[in-house]
Amino acid sequence: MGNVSLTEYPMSGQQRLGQLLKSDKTRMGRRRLLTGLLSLSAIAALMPALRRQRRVQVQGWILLDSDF
Amino acid sequence: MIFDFNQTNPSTVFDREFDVVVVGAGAAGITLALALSEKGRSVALVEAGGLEYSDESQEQYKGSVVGDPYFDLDVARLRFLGGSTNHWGGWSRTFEPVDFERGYLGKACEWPLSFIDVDRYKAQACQILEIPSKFETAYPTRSEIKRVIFQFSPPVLFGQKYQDTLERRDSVTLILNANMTDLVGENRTVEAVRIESYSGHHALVRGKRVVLAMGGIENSRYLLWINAQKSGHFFDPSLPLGAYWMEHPHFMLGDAIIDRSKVPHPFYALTGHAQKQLRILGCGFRIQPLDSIATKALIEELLRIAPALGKRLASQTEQDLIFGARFRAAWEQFPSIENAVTLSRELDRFGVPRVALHWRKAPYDRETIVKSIEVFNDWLLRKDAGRIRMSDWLLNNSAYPANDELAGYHHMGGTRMHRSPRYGVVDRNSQVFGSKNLYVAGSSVFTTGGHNNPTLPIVQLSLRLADHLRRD
Repeated sequence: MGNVSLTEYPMSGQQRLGQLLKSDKTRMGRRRLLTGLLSLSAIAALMPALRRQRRVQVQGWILLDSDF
Repeated sequence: MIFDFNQTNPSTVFDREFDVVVVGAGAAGITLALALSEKGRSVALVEAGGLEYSDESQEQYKGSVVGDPYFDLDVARLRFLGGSTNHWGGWSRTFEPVDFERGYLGKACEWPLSFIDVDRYKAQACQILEIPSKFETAYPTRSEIKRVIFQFSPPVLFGQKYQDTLERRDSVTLILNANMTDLVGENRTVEAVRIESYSGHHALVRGKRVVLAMGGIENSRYLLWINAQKSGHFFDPSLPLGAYWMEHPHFMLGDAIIDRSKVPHPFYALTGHAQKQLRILGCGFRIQPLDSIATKALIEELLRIAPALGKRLASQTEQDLIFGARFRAAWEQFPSIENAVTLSRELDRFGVPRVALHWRKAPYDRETIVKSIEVFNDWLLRKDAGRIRMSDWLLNNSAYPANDELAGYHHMGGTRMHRSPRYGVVDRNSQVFGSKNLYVAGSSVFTTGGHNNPTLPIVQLSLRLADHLRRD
């Protein structure tokens, strides 16, 4: 899977997730933050729209930025 | 007619020469025997078990597995009239066009048949399995996800369904409790099958052609054993016997919240076009609804993690617009030469070496499921049709869970069909390379396995072989 740097994540979402992670440190080890869960290079040809979309992965859930 | 070789040893049966001797009376063998007899061919159908299950027959199926966790080999299949149809669930589905277009994964993955060559037997095979022959007729090229349609056989248990027919039909002689112990012949021609009963009877069953239809492991086992004893006597001794064996791994990929109106069906897969684009194999997704308590628990979890989404889902669940689900998958394995049926040193009661099955899931398996779930997940998100929580083993790229469903009891490959004897054991007509009259039927001839249940394709290919044998 292609991880994308945290700094690439839009600030609003990053702040929200920062708060979330701080709120429950015991679960931090299980939480991952990445906007590029999808292997963009592999499927870009299939779905160019993916490049414009942002994904957030929290406790295994693959969520949209707007879900928070 | 049917007779029990444990009880009688009639010279009238063993003095004659049949047009075809079929070894194994499961889905492939019974289909083949009846189709040939309908065209006036005389058939001896040799079955190692009886009319019902018995420990003394089943015991020959014991073997060992090297590699990933798998089922005991004597519970993963059944050895009496009807074979493993005696414990199948009835899930039925044909191959898809893309299953015959795997050349992008290398020469080893190329079938010597086209989709049309097999699909023309679909209606007849569906009639045998007592299912409608309705599957997807459109294969979209612009969408990456498609609905998958299964049909469900009652299920047809071949032994029960066809016992009376076999009893009445003069052109078929079903010999029960008859274990193949050798092939007899000269000059790459099999003249007879040597059989032995549990009661100690021995005999030769003579035929112009011999078809092994013993199952997705046994076909390899017996050809390996014959080759070990009489290398080059009946067929090309350098064939990749037993190799490229395949299963359909079955695992839970996670949980999901699903919108009923946007994802109304239980089965989905990537289109053939998407599989080719991503250079992966087939992976079928199964959305298995959870009860309301489990659904509520998922939504409560989302309320803590993503309140905006959680509140919306909580409202939707009150209106029964969404449901929680287990998100499962069954996928196609890359045909690896390292996954193989081999012979162990231990012998069964008839002196035939037991099986040592080498089976592992490869990195390519993981690539197929990860890429498939990525595409499916994106499809869900774009439609706002649901959210998936992936299992830890997938997220962490760690070992497959050992307490999951594991696989489908689908034994494929080992005597696969190919244009070249370098990659296959039988040609496009299921004839063993180098042999003049030895054939193989069943899922062991699959070049690649698709991601669907194999019984319907087994019946289709058996009907095709019957057509070939009665023309030949």
